[in-house]
Amino acid sequence: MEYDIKGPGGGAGVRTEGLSKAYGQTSVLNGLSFELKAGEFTAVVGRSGCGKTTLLRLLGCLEAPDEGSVSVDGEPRSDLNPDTRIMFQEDRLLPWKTVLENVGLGLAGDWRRVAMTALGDVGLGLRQGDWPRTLSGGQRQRVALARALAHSPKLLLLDEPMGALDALTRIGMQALVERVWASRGFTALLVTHDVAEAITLADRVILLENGRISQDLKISLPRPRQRDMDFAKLESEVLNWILSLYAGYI
Amino acid sequence: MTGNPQPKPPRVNPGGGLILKKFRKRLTPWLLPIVLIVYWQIAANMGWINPRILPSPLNVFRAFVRLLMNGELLENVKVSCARAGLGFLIGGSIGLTLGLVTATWRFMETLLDTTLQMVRTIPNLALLPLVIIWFGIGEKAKVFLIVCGVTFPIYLNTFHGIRSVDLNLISMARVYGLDRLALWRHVILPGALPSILVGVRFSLGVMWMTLIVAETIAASSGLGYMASNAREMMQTDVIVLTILIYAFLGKLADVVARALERRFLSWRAVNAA
Ligand SMILES: Nc1ncnc2c1ncn2[C@@H]1O[C@H](COP(=O)(O)OP(=O)(O)OP(=O)(O)O)[C@@H](O)[C@H]1O
Ligand SMILES: [Mg+2]
Repeated sequence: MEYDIKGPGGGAGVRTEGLSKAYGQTSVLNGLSFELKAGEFTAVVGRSGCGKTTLLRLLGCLEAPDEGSVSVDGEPRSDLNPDTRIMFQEDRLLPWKTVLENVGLGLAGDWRRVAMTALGDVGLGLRQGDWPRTLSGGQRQRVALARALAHSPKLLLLDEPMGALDALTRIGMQALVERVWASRGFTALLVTHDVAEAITLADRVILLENGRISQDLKISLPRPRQRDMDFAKLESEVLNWILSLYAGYI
Repeated sequence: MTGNPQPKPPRVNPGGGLILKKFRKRLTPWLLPIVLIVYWQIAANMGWINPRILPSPLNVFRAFVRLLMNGELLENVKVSCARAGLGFLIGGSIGLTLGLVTATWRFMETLLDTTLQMVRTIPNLALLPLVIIWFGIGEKAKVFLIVCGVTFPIYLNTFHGIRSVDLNLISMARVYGLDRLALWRHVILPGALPSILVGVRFSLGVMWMTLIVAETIAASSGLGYMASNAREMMQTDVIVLTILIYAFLGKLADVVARALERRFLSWRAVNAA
């Protein structure tokens, strides 16, 4: 588990083949096949309960699929792997460990130095000795991001990590995520409810519907992205997908 | 103010007032006990209280000095503390182990929990007559009773503490590569610790209670024995002294438990949001 502070650690290519998952009678994922290119930033949108978190759990091998397979860099994957890290919907910091110890969780060897570097990257180096409870919600999510970065993941799975943040903090966090992604070069899969967030960050936006990918949109706006006409056009396209999901109810 | 030619009355001196106020705040809680003790002493001196019913504070103090000098007091305190400590250690270990085992293995929970919940409802002191028949009035009887009393609070709180550790934190820890041992060390045990310490505090109370009763009824040494021996000789001063020492030891155990909490639970919010 080396921490690459010199440059991009690189990303992993991911491929899923016919992923299916059901809980009891309810089928959540239904023969899902897709590919994530190494270093690509993909955003997943979909209505609540459509299986986004489930997809991340399968990709992170926290759970096994009922059918189908996940492969990373061409290797079939069925176990937890240090090159994949998940940032959860909640910060999930250990309240009994200091900020630095939280970031260093699971690291071997010279973990303090590695954790300190990652903490510096999210701008919280000065809070290393504090208890998590003394941080704000946004700061806690930044610590959670640092914890993920400290492992130099090749695949980072982000499950609405900014969902609970206020609008201003969220913009700052988005910029931070984009900056570390650009400098480290990992493959990122971001689940979000925020269409503007998806278009700000992602190279590609996919829509998860009925356990499959029903839309797939390439975003080739230059970075960092401005909220101009092109942005607005893409945003309204994605919004239309989402509206159509609810068409039956309106 | 500076132009005021009149001398200031001393009561409005702000600095002195503050010190006095602080001092008063520290002192106020002790006021009532001090008044009571002084009144008690006066009542005894005036002959209002029969010394056979209640000795004067001074006589209790004299008994303290007497028993301290002839070594009887220290010997008995030592004996009592050794029993309490041994019983607590054994009972605590059993409770902790049972809690860990049942909280970890579903099978062990199914196997043991119903039984333990049933046995737990028996007040440990109800066993006293049986224990005297089994072990006589020696050390084993007392230690056994304390073990019985201490085991269950620790068991219940350990079990509950481990079970209530946030499953989200556990799956996070797995994603971050913690193996089984590290998971216990960094996540499960620290998460269960607040609950375990609640059990420790509770069982310290049970420990003293059991010891007092067992030593008073059936012992040939220890503080309780000292008290019941004094009863036969109508030495009320020694009896009151014993009560005070029990109170002091109980308080001491509580202080230790609190110190443990401060040391290990400092991460918790002192005042909730
Ligand atoms: N452990 C589980 N047991 C039973 N059902 C589950 C379990 N986990 C998820 N589900 C069900 O699977 C479906 C998808 O859940 P999932 O958490 O993946 O949704 P989501 O898209 O992440 O939703 P949200 O956007 O609200 O977070 C839901 O209907 C949920 O009830
Ligand atoms: Mg979710």
